[in-house]
Amino acid sequence: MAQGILDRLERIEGLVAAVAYTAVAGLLLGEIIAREFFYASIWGSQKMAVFAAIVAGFLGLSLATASNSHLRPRFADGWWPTAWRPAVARFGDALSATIFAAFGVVATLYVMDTFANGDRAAVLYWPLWPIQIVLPYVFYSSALRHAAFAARPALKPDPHGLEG
Amino acid sequence: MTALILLGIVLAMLALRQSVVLILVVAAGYVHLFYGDGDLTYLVDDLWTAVNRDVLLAIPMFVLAGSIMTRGSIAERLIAIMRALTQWLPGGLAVATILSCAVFAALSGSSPVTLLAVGTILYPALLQQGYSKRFALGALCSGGTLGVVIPPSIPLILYGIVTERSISDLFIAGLVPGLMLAGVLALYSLLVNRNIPAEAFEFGALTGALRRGVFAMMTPVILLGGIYSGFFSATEAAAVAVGYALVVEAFVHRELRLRDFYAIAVETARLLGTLFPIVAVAISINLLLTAEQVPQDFARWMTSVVDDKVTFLIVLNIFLLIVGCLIDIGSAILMLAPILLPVAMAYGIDPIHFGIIMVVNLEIGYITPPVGLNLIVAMTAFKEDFLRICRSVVPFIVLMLIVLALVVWFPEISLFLLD
Repeated sequence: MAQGILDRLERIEGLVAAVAYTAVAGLLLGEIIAREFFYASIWGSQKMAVFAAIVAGFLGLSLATASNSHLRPRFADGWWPTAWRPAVARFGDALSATIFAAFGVVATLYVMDTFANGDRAAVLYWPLWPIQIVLPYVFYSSALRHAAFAARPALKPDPHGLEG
Repeated sequence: MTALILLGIVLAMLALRQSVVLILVVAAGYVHLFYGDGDLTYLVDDLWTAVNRDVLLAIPMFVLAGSIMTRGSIAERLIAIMRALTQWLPGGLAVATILSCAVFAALSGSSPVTLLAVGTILYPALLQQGYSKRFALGALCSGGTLGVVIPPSIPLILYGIVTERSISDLFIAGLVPGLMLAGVLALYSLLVNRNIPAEAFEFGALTGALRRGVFAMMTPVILLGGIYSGFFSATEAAAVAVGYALVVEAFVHRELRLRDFYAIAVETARLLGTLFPIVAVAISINLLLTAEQVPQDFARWMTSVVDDKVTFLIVLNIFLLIVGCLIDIGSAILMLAPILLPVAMAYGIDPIHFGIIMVVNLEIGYITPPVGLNLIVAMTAFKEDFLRICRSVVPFIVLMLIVLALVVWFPEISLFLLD
């Protein structure tokens, strides 16, 4: 059940990130083609590309958490007796969940401020808060995953990337 | 006292298996609370300001382009060209290894990706042709680092972003040092393997390889030519790289389907998910440090302690080499460049030259233990003992240190193309 929810979440985040990166490439290429061949410009293309990259980049944080691929210095792992390490790993995940959740709250307050102030994007004049909402989302999403890993360590995949 | 508490927090987080991004976020929060305005929402505001800039677009696009090329057959076609070009030399495959790394590095912008893409094909081939395991491992690990200096280079983009210097100028400045490194490594490979018999030069094989690989070989020409001619910016070049790689792999080489592209895009997002937040937090810390005049104070202190440029350069290089042994290149640039650059400028060092000095120093960190990323990648990819891999890179490190000394001592090596 928990595994199914996390997998579905990962698929949705992956899809949105892939679409966002495709949009970044499309917008930048479109701008070059418009400029060089049609002597025109796509209104706000660069800014839209930046926002798409922000969404994809932060969703990547959540995806990296899901696949346990964040860079993590390992030299301190040996500071603990071998028998304690599984417990330390679970405590570490609980701590990560707490920190991510705490920053999720801070990011929520920030986005609420932006909403209240009516902040808008330069060039596009779009309200910023719908884009900024990715910040608290990824913090909460990562907190949820770490909480799941702490509660059920079997859900945590082996390190996907290369640890430092 | 507050600094000591921060150090304690970082050490405790390391012991509790926290990731680099979380350690940085907590450190940034602490700095904001105790050295800044005491309001954590400013940290999120700085994070937003840090990522809300056009220049950051270059990183995901170059990584995406590199991933597309790695998944397709561009690496294989480049290697075929290099092999056909060098097979008449005694030890030709060794030279082909270094040259393949250099060219693929120029396409992918990533050291570990280069090592994997080239090594997967050439490591078994080198062993099969009688090259020593020690040489093969050393050549691939060190050749894989060439992507750090040869443009388009992600570390140079990071340096440009964090110090607000022209990425195009950094790319131009990195070209000659990168080619020098490639040349020196290739020459060494030739000398050390001169007893390996040469093969006959086959003109037909070369033209066949060139025909199959012409689109792959055109990639750096289009990208660098586009940037240097002013046709597009470094950021736009990254998107051009994605478009070109997609068209070539999907329609010319016919090695890529839509489903593959989706998988590549998700994998790129995951990979960047480990880097992007670190970039964001590091920039936000730098914004605060700059507002508090920390780099300027550090520069004043340093110039009062070390009064001549040569001593500073020696200390700087030793420091950066040690840092490269301990921290990954991206984090090191993001954390140190904004602090060290004002100091370097106080000694009259050109900011672009300083960027190249920094990146070449940290490049060597890719093949020095304990966290040399290429050593770890090679250990996993080639299933070899870590100590054996560490020993294999020693002669290459010595050569790279010689090139580093030249790059440091003669700024013209980096700057003459700009002049």
